[in-house]
Parts: sequence; structure tokens; C-alpha cells
Amino acid sequence: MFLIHCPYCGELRDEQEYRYAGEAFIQRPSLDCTDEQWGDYVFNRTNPKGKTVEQWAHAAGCRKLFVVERNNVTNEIYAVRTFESYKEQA
Amino acid sequence: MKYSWLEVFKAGLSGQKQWPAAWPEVSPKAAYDVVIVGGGGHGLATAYYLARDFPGTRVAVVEKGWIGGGNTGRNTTIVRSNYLWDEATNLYEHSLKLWEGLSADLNFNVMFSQRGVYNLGHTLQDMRDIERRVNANMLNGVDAEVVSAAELKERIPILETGKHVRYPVMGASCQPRAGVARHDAVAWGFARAAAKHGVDIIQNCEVQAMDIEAGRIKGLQTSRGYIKADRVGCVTAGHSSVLAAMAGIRLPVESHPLQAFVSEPMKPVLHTVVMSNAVHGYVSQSDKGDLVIGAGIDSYTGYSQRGSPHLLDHCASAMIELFPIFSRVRLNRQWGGIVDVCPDACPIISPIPQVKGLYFNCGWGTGGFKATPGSGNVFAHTIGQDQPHPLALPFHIDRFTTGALIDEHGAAGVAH
Amino acid sequence: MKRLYKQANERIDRSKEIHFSWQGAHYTGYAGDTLASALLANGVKLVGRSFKYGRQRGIMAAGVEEPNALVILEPETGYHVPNARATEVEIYPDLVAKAASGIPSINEDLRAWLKPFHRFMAAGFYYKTFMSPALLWPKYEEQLRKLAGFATAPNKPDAETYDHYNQHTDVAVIGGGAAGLAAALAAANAGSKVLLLDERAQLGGELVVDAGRDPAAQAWFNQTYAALEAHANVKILVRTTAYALHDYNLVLALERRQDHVTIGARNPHQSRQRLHRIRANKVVLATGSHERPLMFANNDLPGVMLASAVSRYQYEYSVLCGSKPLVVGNNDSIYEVARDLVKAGTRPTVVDCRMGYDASDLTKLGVLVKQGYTIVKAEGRTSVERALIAKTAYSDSHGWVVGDAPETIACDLIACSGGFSPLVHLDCHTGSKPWFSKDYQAFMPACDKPHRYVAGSVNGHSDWQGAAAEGEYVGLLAAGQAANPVNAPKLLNVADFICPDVGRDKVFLDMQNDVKASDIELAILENYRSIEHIKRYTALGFGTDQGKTGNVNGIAVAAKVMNLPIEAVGTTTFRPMYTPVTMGVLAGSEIGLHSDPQRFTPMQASHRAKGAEFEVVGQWMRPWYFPQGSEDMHQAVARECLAVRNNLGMMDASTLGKIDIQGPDARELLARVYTNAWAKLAPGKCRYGLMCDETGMIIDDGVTACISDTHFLMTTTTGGAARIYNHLETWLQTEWPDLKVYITSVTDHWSTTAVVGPKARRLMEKLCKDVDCSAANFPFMDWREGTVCGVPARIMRISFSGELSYEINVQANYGRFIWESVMEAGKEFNITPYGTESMHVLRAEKGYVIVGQDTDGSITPYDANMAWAVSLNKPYPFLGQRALTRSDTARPGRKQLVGLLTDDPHKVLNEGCQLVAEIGSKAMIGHVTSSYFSPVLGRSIAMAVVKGGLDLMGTKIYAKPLSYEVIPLTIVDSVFYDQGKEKIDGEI
Repeated sequence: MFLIHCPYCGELRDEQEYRYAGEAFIQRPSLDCTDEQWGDYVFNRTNPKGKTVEQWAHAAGCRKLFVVERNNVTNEIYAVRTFESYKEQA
Repeated sequence: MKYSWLEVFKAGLSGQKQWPAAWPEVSPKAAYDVVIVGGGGHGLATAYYLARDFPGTRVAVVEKGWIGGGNTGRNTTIVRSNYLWDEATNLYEHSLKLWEGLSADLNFNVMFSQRGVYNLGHTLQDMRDIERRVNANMLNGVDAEVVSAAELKERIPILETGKHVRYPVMGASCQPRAGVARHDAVAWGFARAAAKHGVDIIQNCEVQAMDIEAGRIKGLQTSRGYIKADRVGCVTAGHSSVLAAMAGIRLPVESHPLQAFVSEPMKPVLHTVVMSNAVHGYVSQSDKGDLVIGAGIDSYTGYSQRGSPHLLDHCASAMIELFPIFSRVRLNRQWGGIVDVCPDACPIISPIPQVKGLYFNCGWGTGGFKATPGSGNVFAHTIGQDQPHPLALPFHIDRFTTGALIDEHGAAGVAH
Repeated sequence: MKRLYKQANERIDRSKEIHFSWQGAHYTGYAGDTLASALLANGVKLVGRSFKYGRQRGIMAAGVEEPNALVILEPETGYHVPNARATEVEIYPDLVAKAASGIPSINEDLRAWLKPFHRFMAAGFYYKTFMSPALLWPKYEEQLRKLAGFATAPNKPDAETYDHYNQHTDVAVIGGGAAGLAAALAAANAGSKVLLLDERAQLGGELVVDAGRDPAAQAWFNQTYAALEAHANVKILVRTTAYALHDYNLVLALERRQDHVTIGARNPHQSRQRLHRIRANKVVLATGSHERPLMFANNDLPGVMLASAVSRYQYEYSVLCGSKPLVVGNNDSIYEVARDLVKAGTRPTVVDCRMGYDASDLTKLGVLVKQGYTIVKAEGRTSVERALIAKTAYSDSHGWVVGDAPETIACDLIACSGGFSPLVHLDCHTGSKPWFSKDYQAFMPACDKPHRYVAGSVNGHSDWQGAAAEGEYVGLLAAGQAANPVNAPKLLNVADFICPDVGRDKVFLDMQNDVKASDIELAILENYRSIEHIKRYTALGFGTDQGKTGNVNGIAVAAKVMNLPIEAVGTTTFRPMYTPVTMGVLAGSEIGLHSDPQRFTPMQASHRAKGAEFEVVGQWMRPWYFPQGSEDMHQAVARECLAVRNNLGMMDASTLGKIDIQGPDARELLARVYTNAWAKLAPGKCRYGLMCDETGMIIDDGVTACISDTHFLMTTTTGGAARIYNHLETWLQTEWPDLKVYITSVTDHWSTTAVVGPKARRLMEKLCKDVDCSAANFPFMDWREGTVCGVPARIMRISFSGELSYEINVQANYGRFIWESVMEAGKEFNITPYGTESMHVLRAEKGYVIVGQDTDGSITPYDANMAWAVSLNKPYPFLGQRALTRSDTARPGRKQLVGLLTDDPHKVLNEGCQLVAEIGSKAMIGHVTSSYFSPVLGRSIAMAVVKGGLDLMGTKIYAKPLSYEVIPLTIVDSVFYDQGKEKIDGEI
């Protein structure tokens, strides 16, 4: 049970306001990829133990999606960032 | 020693001094033909059937902690085989048949109690799905029946079947041969039986790296030294992706927290197993008298073995919907496990195409316990013969490339 | 046992006598008594029978750690509480309580009669037996189940209610003893908002005992308590147990609001118990510690008690637990207890395994002090009559060695102390591991999580002054103030564990589960060496007390047997709940109709007035059918369907999900998420869309209207609304942030009345003057903006029945007005409202699919025979397009959607029914997804998915339903009615 700081609303809110939306930054292959590549994209997940980089949506708030860097063993949240901030960084 | 009344009698007279170790404490040898990673029920069962059915094979089970300490010792122990699709039904029914002889086979009472399992339906679509599944079970030779709400009330008088609740019970499917078992005993029974067939069971032995050369497994680096192995079977529910990462691959699984709780022990009041997907909860009463109640998984991934408390609140609400008399029953203990969930709610029992000699058995989601003997049996044959057991073939990891998924989520529950 | 003269700070009110019933007999206590103190005061020694051996058990403790005194309150009523501990029950007038154990009663227990067999019933014996013949196991199991369990379950619905209370605080202080009180006051004085929780009815914790010994303690308590009571920053919750501590300092606490009130006086408008969800910036754990009993033979005999409990009963309740006490232990605390007992007028014997403590004050008073001795056995028929003690010797290599020439001491009470176990439970709930202190012989809290502090005896303080000082210190820290570190805890001088010689029978560790020291030895002998295996094999700590008194002793025994240090054995995991929590309080008020929100359309009142039966569809309650008179569903549906086909019907379609899509790239979004083409859809037009996910399987469908080039209104399935909205939002924000488009859910903004049937136009012309409803000017799949009964509306000519149909969408709050206006205006056409069942029949007659019923997550658009809705040539391939060419997805012979006609036109197949190719076959080739009796066709129709079905038109196959019939049928096209689409324009 954790608290997430919504980068758009600017408030620390209960996890139940949010919707988990899966691993972040999955690359979508082009249509001419192989079946293996398509299967890898659709189904395979890194599913790391420890630090995850994942998408959450503020479902009961601003409805924006953003990125949460979380330790999925301790539930410590290292960072909550917008997608834009990663682009700027890149 | 063969466990029996006579031995229990003799032990009583001798002050319980003559019992041998259920499985010996051993250190890893330098090399094995097969190393099973993960000393849970599935891993120990795999080792047992490998050693039993492929005599001469040198087999070890390496376990990071203590055997049976993962999901084997954390689940709500439901055993059934009334699945929807042929492929899944055949696998789980194979398992159920093994359960029926398991105590005798292992010479260890796993307390398999065939008290029946009811899956409740609360909507018209639930009832369509129940009809479809039960009909399929019937044609697949699996015992199953559709039970009306009135008949349910007769069989389970404490169940609320009235119309004036949020999601009234419209009926149920029932599998009479289904039931529950003593989860720890399954791990111990398989460990003891496997050890008898020469399997080394090595606890406190964590795999740290896989030695892979030219696309072939060579051995494992562990916290207790290097172990050479021709073949490696990974059966590490919850942590499958962690092991896969050591082999440089990704799996179509995600690990989620799953929670359960038990009540204080009471005199027998519920004599069967009741499950409801619609209101999210399942319950049975253990032989000790506790109500054993399972909740849903958290939506997010996690390896913390603890989930969010609101799921338990929701589950308690569901239980009281179904059994109003449970409202004043007190809950004693809650816990969490880590389940690795596959996109089609079916397991992966498969050689890994990228690494020769490496096999994975994972993705059982919330329901792996029931498959323990069957899973171990077909996985043992898959490893032992280096080709998928016919019952395991549909669960090959290739299905995520070809698209031949076996969607056991049931119908999506959408309606106009 | 007896009630003493008034103790200085006793917490009973002698002016209020309370009459209660125990085991059917009447007793009297005082207000302030627990059931345990009242029973002790009345001389009741036997309160329970043990789980396995049916042994006699008495009250051992004075708090929630009590393992033996399990009781049922108010049996067989709506107030039934199973397995309450007598030590936590405040008595109230007319309380009815009885023992939770005993087969058939605590006076005579069947299991005790089996005593000659107990030697065969060691830990885990059942794993080795009852195996053959296998057929008998169910019989064995039935008998074992009857012997197990404690209380009977309630047999009536709960007479009381529960609620939840969310709150935030700066500092949550858990435990109202010296440390907690000091912490709360310090934090509050430093400006923090403080919430102070304590499980007992009154604050003070063990101070009540300290106060009995030292008037300064009472003075400090009075002063501190008064300051807290008066403090604006402080909120105090008593009778409130913090039972779990989750990540981010979420404290879950159970407040017992009425359990202490006599049944008849309970406020029916107030919850019985309340679950507090407390978000605290800082948490102070001042949870205290529990005493451990000593391990000796028959240490479960009634009359064996925890030494600290004896003092507690004396000072808090003025109850003397024995007139000939023996006080025995391995630490200094026993001397204080002995002094208490001297004050109470007894002459105790003190037995200390150690040498050297200066007890001259006691010996001067004639107290026999035996140092270098310990107890080896308690004896007595129904309760303690004497104790056997023996000499001890200690060596670093072997620990304690106990002599074998016991001396006998007559006594009626054995007050024992084996040291104290800090209550580290809450600290461990988020994954912290306690560490073992050799000095204190106890597992200590790690307190290694942020924003958390521990203080008091949980941290090893043995004196209230030290605890209070530390409480004040952490209170200041929690409030963010600088503070001077306090002295290290004054640890009690506790000797190593005295583990009995293994093999000696009936030395109990876990009283509740009858786990003996010899059971631990047996487990280890059989290689169950991990403490988790030991626990699971022996059931150590699995009771309702969660091993509060027994676990650490068990760990010590295991360490001795395995010759390991205690810290190498470790503890099992401490999990919530700290003490048991009522299931009802977790659910709170979210039960019954409040267990999940019910959603109704704006027309609900009209539907109800029309006598509609309702169908649960997700959270929605939708009219299922509208029976008239004595009609059953089939009769009503036949009437409704024929009315639509031949005349005029109306349906509430408001529940369909609606998503408003706006922006220059709105059309592009549709093209990407739907399988079909959207480039050419003009404003004023509607189009059906089919949606897949990236696996290529159908996930939704619905009609989208083009409002303008930059504005579309999408409809989704009723059950899919939220899911599809999330799906779109996720794609927009992650993969396609460059698309200039916004979406918003407008499901609740609109209400939809569908006017359906050949006469629909005539009705529309009555109600709507500003839209030309003629077939030529308002063709099928167009929509118009206009006014219906004076209400602005979007009218869509779309149809889910194949009949002429106008769906009138108005702002939701006009929904009922429009519905009733249509009903009124339709009277002249005998307009017929219809529900979801008729809707299903009508759409099936036309072969229209329902996603989720005719599809199940394994059906592609091609499988659904909807290749016409797949456009492979869009600039941006639609979601799932790539998946359609995977080898299995593209293979021939997949299950495909077809129609079925039974040979017997009156045979209606069950939905879900399985299909086979040959009469004798059991190999399923598909199943029935939809099946109805079609009133207009006068026969049954069905839709099904069949392997390769689209190539099998006209083929005879068979249904093999649960009834064991074999039903012959023929595969046909899934459009059963009006294949020529002649009816779509209605009466011309």
C-alpha cells in the first residue's frame, strides 16, 4: 500500500486513486517484424525484482499517465516523472 | 522406513526416537544430470518423477531458502480440474488423478480431501460460462455439474442465496472430486519420496548465475558453489523472471502479490470449497478449523510478499455477502505470496528454445498448487526425454509466438 | 483466589456490581473487571481444554497474549463472538459467556480420556498414518475435524454494524504505557498532531503495576494523562488495537466501540467496531513486551501463570491469584512480584535459577528464597498443588544443567517468568527482521524503516522512568525537534533460557496448540530444521495467540537441540493481524447493496413503475424484461420481440459506454484503434467499429458518430466502457503523444431512448418537428441534431435489431422525461418497452455479435466472420493487425462464428452447450454462444463458434448438452431474419 505523488496534480495520494498500467518504455516493433519479435513485444516482460520502471495513471484524478520508478520489494518509490521529462533527458 | 500405523505405534512406545530424517541434509555434489531450481511442490514433484521414472539419472533440487517456503506454503490449497479448454482440463485432470493416489504413492498423508468445489455464478454470463465449462468437462470425462441456487442452499445451508443482495447467486458449477490438501505435506511428501529415489535436496542454496556456453547450459553458480549440470529445470514460481534474466531471456510473465487470510479455528461449519470470481474470494475450512480465504492479486507487480490491505477489505466484504454468519468471525493471520501470471492464465511448461538443456515451468498464476503432481510429472518427462510430454506440448513457450494461446480467463464478462 | 481489600489504584468500581453468566452459572464481578479477572476473583480455575490432548487449562496471562482462556460470548445470538480471550473481554451486565473448548465440556473432555494414546500422537503423526485404505481417509478426516477447532461458528447474521474511518496525523503513538504517554505528550508539546492508540480500556499499560509499587508512578501517570487529555493536539483512542503497520506508515487499527456495553444498551445507530486507517507521518511504536513462561513439566496446569500477570491482577483488579504462591524465574522481575505478593498478605516462595540477587528484604520477612534452583514440574489433580524444584548449574559451554533430585514445595499458584519478549510485531509487518539480544535474551525491533521510532519496554527498558524518558526523546524526534539522547535501556537481568531435557513429556511451549518441547525435538530429528518447518510441522505459533508466549521458547529449544545460537535459528515471520480482527470490520459498511455501487440509468424510476425485472450487467442494473400480468420471461420476451418486429418498441440504451473524442487527430485515433476504415466518414454519419488489442483478438465494438471533422462520439459495450477508455488513454499518452486529440468519458452525460420498429418514424414525426425523419433524408447510419419534445437531442439512426430505429440521445437529466414522453406519445401505436433479453433475441435474429458473449478473447475479426470490418491498407496499421498473420492466428480451421438451426425447431439449446461432429464423438468442435427461441421465426436459433465453421455451411453436427441428449443441428449463416435488410427503413 503506497502513496504516489502525481506529477500533474502535485499531490501525494493513495495508491487506490491510481491505475497500474504496466512496464514503461516498451518498444513497439514495425509491422514487418517477425512473429518472434511481435510475441516478444506483446507478451514478454522484464519483470525485474527490485527497481521497476512502470506506468501509472491517475485514474481518479487528472487521468494522466506517468512513470514511476519503484522498488517492488520494499515499495519505496525513487522517482515519479512525466514521459516528457525522459524525452528531455534523452 | 515406511510410514504406517505400526511405526507410529512403535514410536509411541519408544518415545519417538526412531524416526529417520524425512529427507537427508546433504551438500551439493560437483555434478548432476539434472538440477531442478526451486524446492517448492512443483520442483520437488519434478525431481521425484524424474528419479522414479528415469532411473540412473542424478538429480538435485536446489532451494534458496527452505523447501515448500514459496507459494506451496502460502496458498489456499484448492485442487480441482474443471477447466474450460481441453488442453488445460487434460493437464489438471492428469494432476487430479495423481492427487487421488498421492498419499499412498508418496507414503505420506497429504490429506487430500475431496470435499467438492463450487464455483458460483452471479450473472447470466457467469451461468453461460458455467454451462459451457461443465459441458466441456463432461465430454472430457471430468466430473462436473451445474447446480441451481435452490440446490446450493440445500447443500450449503450457510450460503446466502437470496435475491436481495448486490450480486445474487444464480447457480454454480460443482466438481465433487475436487477439494483441498495439506500444502506443507505435499512439499515434504515429495521431498521424502524424491530423496528415497536418490535425489539430493539442497536447502539454503541460491542460484546466482547460469553457466551457458554456445547456447547450452553447463552448470549453475550457487551460494554453495558451482554445480555442473547437463540439464536445468527452473520451477521458481514468483521469481521465474529473475532466473530467466540469468539466462539472458525474458518470459511472458509478471509477478504480482497475492494475499490470503485465515480465521481463528472453529468447529466444522463449511464442508466444501466455495469460490466466486464475481465477488472475488474463495473459502474453505481447514481440518484444524480455520476458514482459509483467498483474495485477488494486486494489479501492480511486486516481490514483497505483501499486498495492499484494501484487497482484503474487499474480500471480507465478499465473504460476508456469501456467508452472512461469518461477519463476527475473527481473522487471525494474513500473508502474501508472489505469483507469476501469464497473459492467457495458463502455465508455461517448456524447453527454452534459446538455451539447450534449459527448461522452465512457470506462469501458474494464482492456481498452481492444484497442478503440483501433474506439473511435476509432465515436466519430469519433458526434461527426462528432452521433448515435451504430450500434455505439456500445448503449454510450450512457442505459443506466444504463434498465437496459440489457451485463454483460461474465461469469457471476458462484457455485455451490451 | 480472592478479591483483596481495596488496592490504592485499582481500576474496578466496587460500587457497580455486575452479574454475568459463565458456563450457565451466575457470577458477580465489578465494573472494570475483565472476564478473566472476574472469574479469578470467583475462584474459577478451569476455563478451557487444550486442542489436542484435551488437558485442563486455566488463565495464564492478563492480556491479549492469553493462550488458554478462549470463550464464546453471547452464544447462538446475533452477538455471538467465537474465541474471544477472557482477558480482553470487559464484563457488562448480563454477559453470557462459555468456554470455547471442551468435548463435550471443559469438565469432561473426550480427548483427555484418550490419554493412553497421547504418546502415539506426537507432532505430525497424521502425516504418517490414515493413508490406507485410502477410502477411509474421508471418515478419519470427518472425525479429526470434529475434534479440532475451538468455538462454534456464529449461526445467525450479525446483529451489529461496522464502519471505517480514515485519518491523517503527524505522529501516531501505538501503546499508552509510560513510553507511549511520554512520546505523545512530547510530540504534542512540540506542535505535532498526535494520535495515541491503546488496546485496553484505560491508558497506562504496565504503569498500573508500577503504580501499585511506587506512588510516584501513579502521580506521573495522573499528571501526564491530564496533560494529554487537555491537549488540543492530542487525540486518544482506547480499546483500539493497531493490528497492522503497512508501507508508508499506514496504521490499521480496530476500535471496539460497543463490545463493553450490555447488549440491550448498545446503540443500534453506532457501529460495533471501527477500522481506522491512519496515515501517519511518523509512527512511534511503544508496544511493550509480553512475559514468557518457563518451560517445565505440566507447565500448563491451571494455577501456572505469568508472574507479571499475577501482579497485574493484584493491582488493577485487586484479585489475589493464589494464597500459597511460588514465584519462579530466571530474572530479577520475580522479586518484585514476590514483594507484591507479600503486600497482599501471602508468604510466597521464590525460586531463582541464578545466584546472587540480594533478596534480604524478602528473607527478613520470612520469605523462602531458593537461588540456584528452578522448577522442573508442577503437580496437582485439577490445579497446582505443589511444585518440584531442582538445583541448577550454569556453564558457558552447556548452558543450564538442572539437577535430578527434586524437592517438593506445596503451592497453589506458580507465578513464573522466563524473561520478556518485546512486541516487535508491527515493526516486522513491512519486512524488517528482529535481532537477538544476548544481554536481554530476546528478539528486539530492528526499527530500520524511515519515519519510525521505538520506545519503552519494546526496546528493552525495564523501568517506567527509563521508558518514559525514551518516550519523551522519540516524541521530540518524531515532532522534528532536536533532543538529547537518553541513556541506554536499563535491561532486566535475564539469564539464558532453561530448556528442559528434551524427551521429557508434556513440557508445553504452545499451550493453545499443545506443542511440547519433545515435538520440537522430533521435528528436528526428522530434518525439519528451518524454524518455518518446525513451526509448520508442530503447529508452534499457529494458534489464535500467534505464539505470543510460546514462540521464543520454541526457538530456544530448537537452538539447543540443533546446538545453534538462537539468532541462527531466527524467528518465523511476524504477520498481521497482531490480534484477531473481526471480518465484519474489514468490510465496514461495504456490505449488502453497498458492497459495490449499483448504477441506474435516469429512467430507473419509470422502469420500476413498469414492473421491470432487472439484469446485473457489470455495476449496471438494466431492465431485463417487462412482464405484464402473470407473464413469465419467455412470454414477456415473445410479446416484446413481436412488438418490435411488427409494430413499435422502445429500449433504454443509456448504459452503453460513450467516449467523446475531440481534436484534429480524432479520426486518426479511430483508424488506429478500430480494425475498419474511418477516413471517409462524413459529419452526420455513423459507423460500426470493431476493436482488437495487440493480440489481434476482439475486445470491443460499437457505433461511432462523426459530429465534425474534429469531433466524434464513440460508444462501447456496457461492460467495456471503463476498460476501453483506459485502453485509449494509455495508447494516446504513451505511444501516440503526438496525436492532437483529447478523449473524455461521457457515459453518464447522456441518456438514450431507442425507438424501434416499423412504426418508429411515425412516432418520431410526432415528437420531433425540426428533423426530417424520412428514409430519404435521414438514412440508416446517419445522425441528426434536433429537438425532441423541446429537448435538444442527437438522434441516431442506428439499429441493433435490424428494424427502423432512432436512438434519441439527450442530456442525462432529461432522460426520464424523454422516456416517458415517448411512452405517452407511443400509446397510439401500442408502444412496448423491452429489456435486454428481447434485445438479445432481436440482435441474434440478425446475427449481430455481443462481444464477451459470442467472443471470448480468442476470436479474431476473421473468426467472427467480420472480414468486412477489417481494413489492412490503412497508413497506420490498426492495433492487433500484425498479430492476425501469426501462424496459429492465420491458420485455417479456427473456431468461427456461425449460425445453428436445430432439426427440431422447438428445441432451444442451452447457451454454453458443446458441439461435436459425430453422434458418438466426445471431441468438441465448438460451443453455442447465443441461443433463443425466435418468436418472429417461430423456431429456435443459435449462434456458435465451430472449428472451420465458415466452410461447413449446411453440415450436420450435434450438440451434446449436460442432459445427455444428442441434438442434431445444421450449420447455417448467422443471419436468420431479413437477410435482404428490407426492414431497416420500416414502414415507408
